[in-house]
Amino acid sequence: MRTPGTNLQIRTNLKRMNKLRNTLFLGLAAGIFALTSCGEQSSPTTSGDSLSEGASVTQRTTRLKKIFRAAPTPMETARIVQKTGAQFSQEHLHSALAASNYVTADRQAINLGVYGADLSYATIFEENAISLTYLEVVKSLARDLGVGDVIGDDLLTRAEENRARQDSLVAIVSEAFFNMNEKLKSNGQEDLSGMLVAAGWVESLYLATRHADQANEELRTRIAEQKLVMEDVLDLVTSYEQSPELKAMVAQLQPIVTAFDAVEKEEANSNVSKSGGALIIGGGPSYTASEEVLSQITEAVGSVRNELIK
Amino acid sequence: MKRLSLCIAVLSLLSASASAQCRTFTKRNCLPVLEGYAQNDNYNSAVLIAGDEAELSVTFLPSTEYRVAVCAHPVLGDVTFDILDQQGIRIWSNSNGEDHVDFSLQHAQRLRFRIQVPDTDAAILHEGCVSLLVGSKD
Repeated sequence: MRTPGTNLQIRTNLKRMNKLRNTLFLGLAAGIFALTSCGEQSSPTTSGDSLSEGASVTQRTTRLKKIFRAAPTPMETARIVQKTGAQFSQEHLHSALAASNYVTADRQAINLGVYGADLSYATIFEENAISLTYLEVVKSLARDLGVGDVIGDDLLTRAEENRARQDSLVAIVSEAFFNMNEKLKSNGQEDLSGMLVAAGWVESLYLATRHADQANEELRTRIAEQKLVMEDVLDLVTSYEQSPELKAMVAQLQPIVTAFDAVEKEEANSNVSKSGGALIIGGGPSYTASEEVLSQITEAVGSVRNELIK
Repeated sequence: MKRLSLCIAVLSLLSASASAQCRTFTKRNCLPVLEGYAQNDNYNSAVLIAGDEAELSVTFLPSTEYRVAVCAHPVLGDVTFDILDQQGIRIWSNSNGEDHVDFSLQHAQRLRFRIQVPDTDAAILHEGCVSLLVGSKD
């Protein structure tokens, strides 16, 4: 038997259902309206009904060419520097104690890049205790920047457990920076991601050039080849929306760009052979830097890097 | 004006949703192809349709073993990808349907990876996620 209270409850539920139905209808109508009346889409990310993860029906009919931009990581640079027989010196790393000095997002992003490169060097040179210290610094700075969740306690525990295994530490650090960049971009903070990448490159070049006066031929060539990496980095960061802070940082790199202008390039054809399923790509252009040019690069990198960590 | 704002709001929502789906797709389906290699920091992913192209131009350093993986949602069919050297000469293509290529270099060189999504006559066009990931090891 229904009581007046029950009738009231039914009426209230009916009202709520009608309201929900209206809301759903309005939402659906807005979606259809937007898809049918906003004109032809040129964006590659406009989607309609979701069919499955990573695919949808599209309204777009015009074809496009998507250009991805990237640059080698500090980990890759550290690896080639180590293979030239260069020595690791802790004194050239940025002081871990300075991390708390950075309070604005742009300074935090720049110095996250700097500490990330230091971390990469320590890891490649198997200075595991230093690696763990710098991983802590990176975690704290990432937290301040609002992307701390990509370096959780589980990641630090994994690093601690694998402290004797360089390959595991390399994988952990690479994963952390991949996730951090992706997070910054998905948060709409591409400019900060750009600053992080550019500062990471400057720091890795700074560490590579600290003993440039005693560098062997191989290290000198590796430093000269960084001209290509510099172009990649500039291409990448200038493709992002230019916030005033990113613009200022790109301007700060100018002395390095000028110093690399004097690097000589000799064109040659590539040749490709195969070994165990992998391609070996030989030949290609070669880059050389004279003593004088190397010294100018070293000086420019040193002064830019010291500005970045201020 | 209200209509434009509504368009922008809904399209932004749908776009964000497609990008988020693409990130999940990449993590689940593409990162495992790089097993044994440390992934590069860069996340290169886009939502493409039939007939679209994508390209990555990046420097690779010597003394390092690289793996470049290209993975695309099956709804897009068999995507093709080529490697072009710094002079623009094609030096490899995935003619056997490979989803990755392993290589090393004697000198640093900027290589160009060109991805092509096959065209279609289908009345309903699907868009799908395409990712290009770079991994390296000693």
